[in-house]
Amino acid sequence: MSMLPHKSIEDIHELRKEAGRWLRGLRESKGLSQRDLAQMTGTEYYTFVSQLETGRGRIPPENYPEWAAALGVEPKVFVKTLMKYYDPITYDILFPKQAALRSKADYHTGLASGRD
Amino acid sequence: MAAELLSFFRPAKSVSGDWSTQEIAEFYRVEAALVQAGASVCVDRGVSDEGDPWFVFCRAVDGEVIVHFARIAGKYLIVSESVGLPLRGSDFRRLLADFVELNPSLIPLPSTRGSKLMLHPASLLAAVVATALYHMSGTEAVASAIDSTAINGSQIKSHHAEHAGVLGDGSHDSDRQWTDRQVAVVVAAMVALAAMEFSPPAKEMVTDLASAILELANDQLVLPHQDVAQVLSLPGLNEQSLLGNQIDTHGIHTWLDALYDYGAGQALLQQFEANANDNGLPKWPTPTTEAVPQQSASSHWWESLSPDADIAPKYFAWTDPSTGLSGGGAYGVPSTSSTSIAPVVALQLQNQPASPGTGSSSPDQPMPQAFQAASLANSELSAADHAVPQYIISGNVSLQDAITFGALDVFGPTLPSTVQALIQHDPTTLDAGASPLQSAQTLTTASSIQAQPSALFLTSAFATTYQTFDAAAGAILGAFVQENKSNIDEVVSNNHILLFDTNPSDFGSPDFVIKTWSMTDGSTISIIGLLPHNLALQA
Repeated sequence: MSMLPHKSIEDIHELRKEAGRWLRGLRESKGLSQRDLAQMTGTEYYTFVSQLETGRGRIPPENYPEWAAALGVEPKVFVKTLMKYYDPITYDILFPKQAALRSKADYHTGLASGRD
Repeated sequence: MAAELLSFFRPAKSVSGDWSTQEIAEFYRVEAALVQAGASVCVDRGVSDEGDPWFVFCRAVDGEVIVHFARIAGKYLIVSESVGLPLRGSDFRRLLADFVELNPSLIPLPSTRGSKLMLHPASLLAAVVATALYHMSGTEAVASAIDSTAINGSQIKSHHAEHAGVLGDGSHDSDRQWTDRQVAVVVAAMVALAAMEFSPPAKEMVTDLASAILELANDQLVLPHQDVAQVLSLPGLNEQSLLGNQIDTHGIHTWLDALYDYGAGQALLQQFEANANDNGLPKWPTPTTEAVPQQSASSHWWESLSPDADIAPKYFAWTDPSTGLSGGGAYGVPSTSSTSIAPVVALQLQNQPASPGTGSSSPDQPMPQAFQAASLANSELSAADHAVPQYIISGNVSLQDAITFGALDVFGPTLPSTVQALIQHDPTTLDAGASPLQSAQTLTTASSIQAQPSALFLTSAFATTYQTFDAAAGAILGAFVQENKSNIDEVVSNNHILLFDTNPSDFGSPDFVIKTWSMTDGSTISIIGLLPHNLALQA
């Protein structure tokens, strides 16, 4: 059995919040309102965008292309970034190098904040 | 508290901005009820960049959103990706009802006799969330959504692994049991929510019941009879109704329905159905030592059951068309009850000719005119393929009592406050000896007088005046039937007849009316329910 890092619900929520912040930054950099983005991505209710940006839920995979296009991000980069937040275990397996870098960064962040 | 609750569920009045305190409280109450019932959920909320509020219920185990509520430009929205398309509308309660109707898998369906589980509006909200949770989770994944720590470190920690093994065996029955258990949890959540409206003992009782449900050995929906009996003590629910030493999903519904409604009418009818033979015909109960015999279910006796106006006694009555056997009974909380709910059920069986409404009246007696009018309504409903459940009030129970207690029984706390004011027993406003309904009908009649001052009034046997049933009344009756076609039940008492709307989503409508007309032979016909707006204004 591989020793994959366990993600607690707190970890998951924190990652979703990061995803939300990332999405919000992209949207705002494009000068889009939440309603604009919802329309461009075919989202039926625009409060879903607000919900995502708060860190709740995730973009349906079938809509990745529309979201990437609306936010002006190359689709592969968009999906890869989302995977980091939505499915970190898979991400770490597929991209071990980035995972190692991230772990290192997390370690140093932890040290800086006085965490174990 | 009920009035506050209603305000949330009434149609939005161009509301904007964040959720009101009342709305947020309601959402959190639902979360608490779901958690209490063992469903592990969490909530979150926010406001869009345009100021429209949203609220989500999430699966606590992984944070996945179960259902998204929002209010956009004054219109409510319910979205559960796992269930279907978004539902939108200005009437939140109607949306909830629509959702439940579209997803009936976890809500007890109307029985073959047409009786319905009356859902408290807030319970509808819990039902929506729990239904979405169930749909989203699927048979296996949902196991992880049941928080094993929710109920006192219960014995279901290993459920996931055990259940996976069961699925591996391809056991359909086990699948079914798991589904049943989910149903039980959902219903328990709804009941828990409703119980919060009531007294601390009721809360305790619901907690016990939820615990019992979730602590089932071997993950089976099998409740030892004695455990159930300990939780609830309805005398009429005995070993027979519990199918030996087990209780099935229907039994759970029956129990919880009793708890929920605080009235035995609906629950007992369902209990009788639980005893049904394979041919689907209800097996009617016979008087047993468990029943509390009463010479007559007089209004005096009803009132003696519960001096506390907040805990109104209930009545029920039924008839078996195949035998002509009729029965009536009472349900209430004895005045001696201080620490626990101890419902009392009184059964009284007697042979009574079926009402003319059933088409089997005695040829020696002319059909009261009220029944002729009702027959027209019944035939219209029959044409619409709706069998009207009929409750016969026997003995000395007057139609006034029927309306008073029946309306409270059926509508419970969801009854609009204006209607409650009409029918609620308020000793401070009654003359000694007057029945609650006498004042109620006086009030009702008073409003009728104001509406149509030129109408002719008759004096009924109860010294109460009603508007004469005429062509205009016939038109209103017809419109009432059309408006509520699939949601009409009927109460018959002597030569008086009452048709009432059973759709909970109608109760908060401003077009919800009570109306009684007199016939020239002294019979009366009454309607309680939704009317088309233009007619409601007239009525």
